[in-house]
Amino acid sequence: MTTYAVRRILQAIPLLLVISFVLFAILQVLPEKPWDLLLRNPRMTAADRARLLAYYGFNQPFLTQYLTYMRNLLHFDLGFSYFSHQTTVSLIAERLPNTALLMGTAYIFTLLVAIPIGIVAAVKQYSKLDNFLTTGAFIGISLPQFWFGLMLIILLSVLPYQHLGFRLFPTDGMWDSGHEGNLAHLNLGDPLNLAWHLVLPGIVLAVQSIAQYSRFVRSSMLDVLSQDYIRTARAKGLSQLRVVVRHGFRNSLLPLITLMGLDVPQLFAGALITEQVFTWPGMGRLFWESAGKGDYQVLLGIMIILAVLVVVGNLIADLAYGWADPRIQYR
Amino acid sequence: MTETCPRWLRLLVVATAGTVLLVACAPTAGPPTTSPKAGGKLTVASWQEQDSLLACNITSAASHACAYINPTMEGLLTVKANQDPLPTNPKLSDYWVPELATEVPTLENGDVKVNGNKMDVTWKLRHGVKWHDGVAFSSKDVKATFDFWWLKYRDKNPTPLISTSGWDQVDSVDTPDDFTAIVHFKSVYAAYLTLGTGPYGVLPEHLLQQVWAQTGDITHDKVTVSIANGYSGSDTLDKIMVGTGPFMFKEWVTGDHLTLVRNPHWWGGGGRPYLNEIRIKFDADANTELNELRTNTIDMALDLRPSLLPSLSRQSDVTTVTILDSATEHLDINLHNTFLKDVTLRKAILMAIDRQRIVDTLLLGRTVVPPDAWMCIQTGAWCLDPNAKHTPYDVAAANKLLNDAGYKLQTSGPCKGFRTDPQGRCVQLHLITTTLPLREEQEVVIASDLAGIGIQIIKPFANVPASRMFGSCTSGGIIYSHNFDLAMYTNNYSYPAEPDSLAYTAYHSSQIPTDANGCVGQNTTYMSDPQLDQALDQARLSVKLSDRKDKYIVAQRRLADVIPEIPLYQAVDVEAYNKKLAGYKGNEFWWMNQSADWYISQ
Repeated sequence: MTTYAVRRILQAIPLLLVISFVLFAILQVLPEKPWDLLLRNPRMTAADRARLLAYYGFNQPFLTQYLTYMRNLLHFDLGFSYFSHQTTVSLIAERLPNTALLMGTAYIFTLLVAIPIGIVAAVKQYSKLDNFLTTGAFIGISLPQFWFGLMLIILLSVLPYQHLGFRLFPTDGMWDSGHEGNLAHLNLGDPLNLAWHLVLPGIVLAVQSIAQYSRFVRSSMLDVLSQDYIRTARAKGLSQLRVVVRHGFRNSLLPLITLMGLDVPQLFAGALITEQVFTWPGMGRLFWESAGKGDYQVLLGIMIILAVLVVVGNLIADLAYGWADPRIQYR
Repeated sequence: MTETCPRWLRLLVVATAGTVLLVACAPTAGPPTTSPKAGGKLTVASWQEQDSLLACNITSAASHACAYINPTMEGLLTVKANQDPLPTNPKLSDYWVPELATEVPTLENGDVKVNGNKMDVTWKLRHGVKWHDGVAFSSKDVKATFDFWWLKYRDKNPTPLISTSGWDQVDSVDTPDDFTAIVHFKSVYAAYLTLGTGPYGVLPEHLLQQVWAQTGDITHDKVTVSIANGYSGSDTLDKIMVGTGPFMFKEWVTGDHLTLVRNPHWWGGGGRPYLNEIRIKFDADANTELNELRTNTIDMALDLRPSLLPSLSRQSDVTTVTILDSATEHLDINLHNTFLKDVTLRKAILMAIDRQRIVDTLLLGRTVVPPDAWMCIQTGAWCLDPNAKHTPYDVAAANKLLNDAGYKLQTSGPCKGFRTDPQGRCVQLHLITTTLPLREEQEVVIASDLAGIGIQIIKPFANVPASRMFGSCTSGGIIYSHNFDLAMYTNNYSYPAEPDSLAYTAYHSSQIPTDANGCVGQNTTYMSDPQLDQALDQARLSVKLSDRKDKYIVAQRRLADVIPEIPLYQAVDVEAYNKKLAGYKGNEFWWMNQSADWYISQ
């Protein structure tokens, strides 16, 4: 397995190089340039303009800029923000814990709810319960996140406050004033206040994921439950619970593992829309803000990390197949 | 026979009664008290967190950054609140209020001396002021500020300064004593009041020395700071602030909030500042701010869109303030366009748009239609032409003008319902703007009004994001590439009370952005008029106000005749705050100016 993992990592290097070149080139050819915002000032003189372009290296040819970027990348330097003058790594370090908390919570909740729902729906196929859960899943998948988020804010925060004088849930943010912490500095602030703020964005993220995951689990379980070895297990007189969980669920894990592997980058990339709607200071919002300003070094840094995570996520998924299904051999 | 009430009905009655009781017991807004009270915290929301605290006029020019930096960082002068009274014939100096200086230097009070083509400006400084880390403020700080901007590095400054324009006219600074700084200019620089004033006007010399001992780039070099009750540690000056203002920097958690705490040693006296703390909360957008106002999560929302005015007007416990700007929402006219190069057509367009209707319906009457040449309005009103032309809405006159000039209304053919020009071509114009809902509503009104005089607006909804609209001409930005017929947007004064930077860059023929000049300038309309150029040149070479005003009046009259733009309405800032806040005064430039006077009234 170790040889296999090392070979996969080595294979990923040229892939990541190509990805980095393509990403760098795409950002270069976009019509909006990062320096546009910097130079939008009525007091700007020609000398100011030349000085700023030289400061940020924008006056260099494309290839020189790319090679400089790659040389820095070898030193784990993902560039620096044109606007905050901070390194991309430090910006990501500030936002990543917030995203990891939000996405991690929603993800764990998703697995805890979606897997039982999927199993029950498969075991009770075409029953009223299955129909109910299937309808619910399609509604969940169809809900636009921005709309669902705004509805939750209005229904569970704004309206209760306006009519009853208290907020069931906060409208946005991570903490109320006076309860703040800073996850990047391992300071949770008031954990209860943080948990209270986590509820609505967590629900928005989880509802859609639960819907998707439960459909996957149901479908995979249905495939497995029709297999001969399940019939044999039942014929041996094993209990329904043991048949479903031990023989059914474990063998239905392969598609789920693939899905989870593909979702690994998502845990770090954050939820662009949900973080924006709930003003959650995470990676999604950092990406959105950087895109809006044309802060390309930050965008590039985030995308390079995501590319690496996609490779890592797939590798983890491939390795996990062996745990789920002993028939799979690594060569 | 007795009738019994069903169980469900009883439950419903009890639940309803409970709800009514809850609503009745909910906190309601009471009348504000009038005498200032000390104490309390205020949460202010900004929907545009800046990445750097230097984004207020040092490495960028961001209004939101200036707002929340303003309570901490001071300059030699600040500006008056919009509602503070002005004399009948205001002078430029009447718009300014001394902050770290004790008076506004002018020719009249002898603090400005012109000697041939050079000038000296004497700044008299306030005594007893301390930086938040306890170091005394003195003329050394003023000198160090001029050194930082220009004198130390000239055009090789290691800090990515947004512009050294104006600073590059300074020759040297003398400090005869701790409370006097004399700035020697190598030329007569009319906009001298813009240097060293406003938030971040003066920087602390002792921290600049720490930077200069390293690379000299204040965005890169860390300084060590200790503020009692505030921030202590080491970081770059674009992450922390050490000022002299009524509030001191405590912390900035990016993406979430910035905390400022009361400066007990502020020079302003009178028990001010009243508040113990101001917390700036960073939101994703203005709609989030609105929801937070509705739920009392925040006390004040900065820079709400005018399109939110109807929603705000329904909030009984929120005070909404609209502040008239020195800027104007307008239509830029591309003077190289086949049709629009004819001044008759431009004049007809000016007369045909019902601008008052836009003000009354889309902006709830909270602003006004400006004069035809709007370069001297609001804080620039000291140079306003007393006979400024206001062209009224008059469709009949516009139609007559076009008829007389040979523009014919077609009743058949490809131009049916619209006009052709004297050469027989259909008069069709593109109108472009940014994708803001209010602008798109304005677009509908304008297209409809122009159709009323036979001018067809084609593709009226092909709008673009702001980044595309205002991108540099090298990257194909719409207005700086002159890639429009009519373009709707607002551009602002970059400094209060000083029309030079706006008027010169927007109307002088040397300021037409092209690839050849590196896209410098904001003359997007191709305005080129020798008489106007001469007036603008002369206005920036004199510090005698009456001379400057005369030149600007000439410029305004030329602009009103040539019509390179159609002014629609005076731009407005919309701020809203919870009624428990008292002492707030609106300010178009720095929205949190005079925060020392704010207090909680309930």
